[in-house]
Order: sequence, then C-alpha cells, then structure tokens
Amino acid sequence: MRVLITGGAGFLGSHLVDLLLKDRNEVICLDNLITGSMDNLAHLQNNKKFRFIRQDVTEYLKIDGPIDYVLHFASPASPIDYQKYPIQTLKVGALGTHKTLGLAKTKKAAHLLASTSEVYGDPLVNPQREDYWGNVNAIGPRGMYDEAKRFAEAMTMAYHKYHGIDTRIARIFNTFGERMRKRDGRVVPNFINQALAGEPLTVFGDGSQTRSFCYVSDMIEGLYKLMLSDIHEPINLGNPQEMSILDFAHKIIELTKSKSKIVYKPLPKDDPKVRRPDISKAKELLNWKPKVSLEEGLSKTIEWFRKSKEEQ
Amino acid sequence: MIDKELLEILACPVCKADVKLEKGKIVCTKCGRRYPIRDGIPVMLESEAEHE
Ligand SMILES: NC(=O)c1ccc[n+]([C@@H]2O[C@H](COP(=O)([O-])OP(=O)(O)OC[C@H]3O[C@@H](n4cnc5c(N)ncnc54)[C@H](O)[C@@H]3O)[C@@H](O)[C@H]2O)c1
Ligand SMILES: [Zn+2]
Repeated sequence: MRVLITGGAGFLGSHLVDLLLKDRNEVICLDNLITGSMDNLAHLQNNKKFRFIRQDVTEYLKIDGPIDYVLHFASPASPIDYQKYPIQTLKVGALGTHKTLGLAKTKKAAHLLASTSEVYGDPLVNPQREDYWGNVNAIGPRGMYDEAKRFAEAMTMAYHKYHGIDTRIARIFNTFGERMRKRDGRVVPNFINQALAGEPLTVFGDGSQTRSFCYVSDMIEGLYKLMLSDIHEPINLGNPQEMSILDFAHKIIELTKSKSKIVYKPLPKDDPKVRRPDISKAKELLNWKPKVSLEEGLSKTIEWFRKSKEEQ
Repeated sequence: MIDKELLEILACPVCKADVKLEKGKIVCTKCGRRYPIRDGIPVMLESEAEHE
C-alpha cells in the first residue's frame, strides 16, 4: 500500500512510519518541521520506500500517483507548543484536515485523523467513553488545541457522511516513549529530565490529579489496527491504568534511582483533573489493548533519555 | 539530489502546477517560484521560495 502521513517527523508519526515501512508499505511523509525533527527519521535516509517533503499541510496539497491511506498527524501536541503556535494549531486542525480529507477524496483513499483525549476537555465523567461530549473552554489556554481537534473531528465526520469518504478518528490519550521531545513541557519528559539531573520534580497542585500513560509501541499498534479496520466512529486509544501525578513522580524517582525531592507549584488554569480512557470499544472492535507495563515502558524511555543526553 | 519519482509527486504549493528540476532548485512551471533542496529534502514552503 502507498500511505501518506502528515506530521511524520514528530514523535508518534515517526514511530508509525517505522511500523508502516516494516509492514512493507510505501510511505510519503509531509512535515514542515515546526515541532518535529529529521532526527526522528534519520535512520530512513536510504530507504527506497520512504520519501520526505517539507511542506505546510495547511497550504495546497497535491501528490501525484495513487494513495491508499492518508494519515493526518500534523499538529503541535504539547501545551507549550500549541500555546506558542496558537494560530498554526487552529489552522492545521481546520485547514489541514480539510486539505488531507480533500486529498483522500481525490485519491479514493481512507483517511485517519489523529484526534485527542483533549476533545473531552476537563471531563466531568471518569473514565471517558467515546459518547461523552466533553467539557471544553473554547477561549481558555487550551482552547486552540481542543477546539481545533473538535473541528477536525466534525469535518472528518462531514466528509464521511456527505462524501462517503472512508474515515477513522483516533482519540489518542497521553502517550510516552522514545523520541518524545525532551523540552516539550509535558510531565513525562519533565520528571525524567529532573530526576536524571538530580533536580527536584515539579508537581503542579497537590499532585492528586490523575493521568493515564500509554507506551508508544502499544499506541502505534492500536493506530495501525484502527487504520486497517472500517470503523468510522471515534475510538479511544490509551492505557486505562490511572495514576495520580504524585505517585507518578515517586515512580520516576524510584526507576531512575534518583535522589530528587518533590516541589509543589500552583495548578495551571484548565488543567484536567482526571483523565482515563474507557477502551472497551477498542478492545471489542479492534481486539486491541495495551501490553507494555508502565514500569517497562518507563524504563525504556528513561534509558533513551539517558543515552540521548550523552550524545548531546 | 532528489530522484525522479520524488520530483514527480511534487507540486507547487501556491499554484498547484507541476514542477521541474533546474540548477539544483525545484521550479514551478507556472509561477516560476524556485524551491530549495536542503540535505536532499525538497522544501516546498512558500516562505522559502525565491520569486521575482
Ligand atoms: N503524544 C501524545 O500523547 C498525543 C496525544 C493525543 C493526540 N496526539 C496527536 O497525535 C499527533 C502527533 O503528536 P506528537 O506527539 O507526535 O507531536 P509532535 O509535535 O511530535 O508531531 C507533530 C508533527 O506535526 C508537524 N506539523 C505541525 N504543523 C504542521 C503543518 N502545518 N504542516 C506540516 N507539518 C506540521 C510537526 O512539525 C511535527 O513533526 C498530533 O496530531 C497530536 O495532536 C498526540
Ligand atoms: Zn507555482
């Protein structure tokens, strides 16, 4: 198959590219590198089945030749990034999704949107099921990202219903692993960096807010299974093992064998208090569930952070 | 250098027209914008193109 992926130089995109190539697909990657890096794709330099074009997917999209799948992963994804690029984030969710859907329509290709658990905002139910409508502040500090993705989902559904495009919507929950950006401000890289440097780990609020973290290999497998399925409804993908941020900080200190302490800082506005996927749908329809334990995933990630630190 | 196949899938992001290779640049056959190639990567960004 011939697959086009946007945002393929990013964390999740580059791992998905690896799996696609391993499964003998041909891959064309479009990325403008605003948050991604060619380092994530450097190992593919001589791969004849892989092509990279530096392009902004909110501009006109035209690619010659057949395409079987269009995977839309381009978007700043961490709060630091989307608050730095608020307009680009809204544009890539809105115009970018419009362009990639248009391309899928022209090519009679299937389209997969990388959506997010942030469409649930600061959820009033826990765990979150796909039929929960969310609790989002459109003009809050996360609004540009949440609403961009909600618009992208609406656009995807409209193309499916109105144009009969074969679409998928993946609601991705927090994912971590190798190739995460070390300075993207999210809790996993923050804690690992601080623990490895022997600095105190910063916990916002009292640390009782919960998160669920999915290791990247599990996520990529789920995404690939969803891509190959024929499910048009949104599907949650994530690890339902929920943990308080404080417990998580202790776990990182334990696994890095660090002597770091914990410091507390005020909770940012609109920070979700709970976050846990209900993955019954993915289990039933995709026969998928995460396999890698938090300890195992974290150990691999910590190892990678250690190694890439030495290289710098 | 970029190969023929990659050149074939490219188009000018501004006017959608075909492009050709000319003196190490990717040149739009319609508007004449000249896109750079850096480290073997076609940079198809309007902001990076030369245009008279
Ligand atoms: N990592 C997570 O935990 C997570 C959770 C939920 C959803 N997602 C979604 O998955 C996707 C990938 O996330 P990630 O963590 O890999 O982020 P990332 O920042 O590592 O990757 C995003 C990529 O998109 C590219 N990009 C952004 N705007 C673009 C544009 N206009 N044109 C072309 N390329 C553009 C960036 O350069 C980058 O390479 C995003 O859509 C994100 O919203 C990620
Ligand atoms: Zn042109």
